[in-house]
Amino acid sequence: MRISPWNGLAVRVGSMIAISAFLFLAVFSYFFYQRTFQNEIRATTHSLSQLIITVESSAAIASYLNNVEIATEVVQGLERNDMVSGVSIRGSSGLYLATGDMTPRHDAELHQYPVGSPVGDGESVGQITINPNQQFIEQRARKTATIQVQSMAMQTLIIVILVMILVYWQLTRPIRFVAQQLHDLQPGSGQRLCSPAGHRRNEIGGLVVDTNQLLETVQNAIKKEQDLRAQVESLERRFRLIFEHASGGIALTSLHGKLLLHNPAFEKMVGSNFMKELMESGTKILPDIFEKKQKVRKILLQIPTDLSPIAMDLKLLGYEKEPRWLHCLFSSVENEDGDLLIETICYDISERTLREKQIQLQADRDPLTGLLNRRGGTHYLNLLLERCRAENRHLALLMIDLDRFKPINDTFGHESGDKVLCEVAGRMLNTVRQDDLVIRLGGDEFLIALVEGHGGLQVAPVAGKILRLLREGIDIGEGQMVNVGASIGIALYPEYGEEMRTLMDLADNAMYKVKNGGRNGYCFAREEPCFIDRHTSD
Amino acid sequence: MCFAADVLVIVNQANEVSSLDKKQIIDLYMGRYQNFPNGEAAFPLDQPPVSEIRTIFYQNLVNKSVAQMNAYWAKLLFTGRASPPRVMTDSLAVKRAVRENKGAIGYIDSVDLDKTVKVVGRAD
Repeated sequence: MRISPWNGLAVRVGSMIAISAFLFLAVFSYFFYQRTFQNEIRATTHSLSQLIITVESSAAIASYLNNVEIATEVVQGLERNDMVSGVSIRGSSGLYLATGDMTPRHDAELHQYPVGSPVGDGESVGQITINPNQQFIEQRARKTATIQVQSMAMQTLIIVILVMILVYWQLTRPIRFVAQQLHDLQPGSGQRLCSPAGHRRNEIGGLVVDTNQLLETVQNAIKKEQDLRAQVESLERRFRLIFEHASGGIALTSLHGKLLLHNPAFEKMVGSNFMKELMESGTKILPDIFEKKQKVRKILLQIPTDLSPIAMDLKLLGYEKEPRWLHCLFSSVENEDGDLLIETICYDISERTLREKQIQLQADRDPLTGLLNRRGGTHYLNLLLERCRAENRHLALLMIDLDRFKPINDTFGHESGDKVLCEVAGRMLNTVRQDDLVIRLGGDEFLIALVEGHGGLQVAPVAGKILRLLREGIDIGEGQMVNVGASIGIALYPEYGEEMRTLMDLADNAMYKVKNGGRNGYCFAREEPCFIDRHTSD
Repeated sequence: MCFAADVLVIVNQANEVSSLDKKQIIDLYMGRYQNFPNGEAAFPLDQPPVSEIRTIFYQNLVNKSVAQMNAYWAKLLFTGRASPPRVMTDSLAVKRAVRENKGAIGYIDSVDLDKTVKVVGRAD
């Protein structure tokens, strides 16, 4: 800090002393002046009496002897004095002599002195009267008093200046010396203050010593603090590295799912849209981003009481085309304030889930026709049967075996056979409704499951339609057309049986009946006769 | 005791003044009056300056030393208005002058007194 010399201690102390000194002087000099003036007046009166004493013997002789010459000498001698305006002498035997102005000023009075006899008998022989020169006396008194007051003021001024110089020399200068050092000093550095010369043993020296001790303490504290901070920073960097570069998403939420903290991996997994909603306070909580939000909410509230982490695979809301799956591990943590929080660690398992689905799909389907294979078909058939049983609906199983397929395979090759199978599969799929199943059991053997819809179960017309469609020629390439047919055995649920195995066997038997009966027809397992289409049968 | 001796003031036998009090003697010897109370001119006479009698006389009369009296008269001499008493050589000379002048007045030791002069007072 820059200190203006006008704000310095020396000037401040000096001016305070000066102000009080001159206030004191103003009051005191008035009384001092008055006193000096009065003293001077008294001294003058005294001088006058002494003046009279010097001429007393002459005056006594003059009065005693009635001697005008001596009397004249006396009065003229007295009148010559500056303090005297006029003098008169009166003798008891008639002498009277006066010189000068004997009229006293209005506020003054004549001074009278008795004159004793020169023969020493104590008898008064006359009287000297003096009219003092009041104007001169007062003027002289004023002059003396003024000079006294002036000299007093001068002394005061000299003392004030001396005090200012001493304060500057003994206080301001050494303090400024120390202050400048302190100003230039870098906190935490090894620099120390040194005492101004000649002040080592007084208060300023003590201040310097104490300040240096303080600086030492501060330096140590700063050093310690810096070391600690460096450690903390390095630790924090490492933690941050772990947190931000973790492949797993990490999020910290309240028990109610409010997002408090998350890492970049978490944001990437959840997606920026969700992130935005989660970040905007009050809009969304963590469970809301999952399909099973109610379940997740419950889990979050349950964790603090269970105290064990809970792991589960959860599907994110809103990714219908490319479903996103997260493997989440929820656990409770306690922060420094003792509040319970939920830590969620998640891994993106969408690809794995997709792959698993695809594998399952491949296992359930016939790669050539895309229809369900025996394995998948059996699985879905059972599910379908369960559903029909639960909903009290009817179901028809159509066991289909292609006629005259083996010769095509033998004559035109497997590729042509495959084409025939694909075409047949397509035609069958076009015939049935959404809920119905078309399964390739193997080779040229198929199974269709028809579910009862709103208009009841129209099995025979559908079977007839399938026969008609399969009878139509199939292009196997290069203008070559082939013809196949079908033998269909039909089993009805629940009329013919309750179990899938039973129904399958019944349908199978019925199908063989048709084959044996001349092919290209359909047959209900427990009914006679079979329907054989004779139009194309050859 | 010399100092105890009486100092007598004497005048001519023919002088009409029969007695003088101390103040009247002083006024004559200090030069205030040049005449006796009855109007006759008076001529005061002094003893020699270094005489014992003179010292005693002035001491008793105005409580002044001879030197002080000399100074007194020296001051008055300048004015020209008064003259100091005439100084005689001794008491005999004083008596003789008193005998020979009607207006003369002098002082002597009482032991020197004789019938030729008249005592009018004493300085004690």
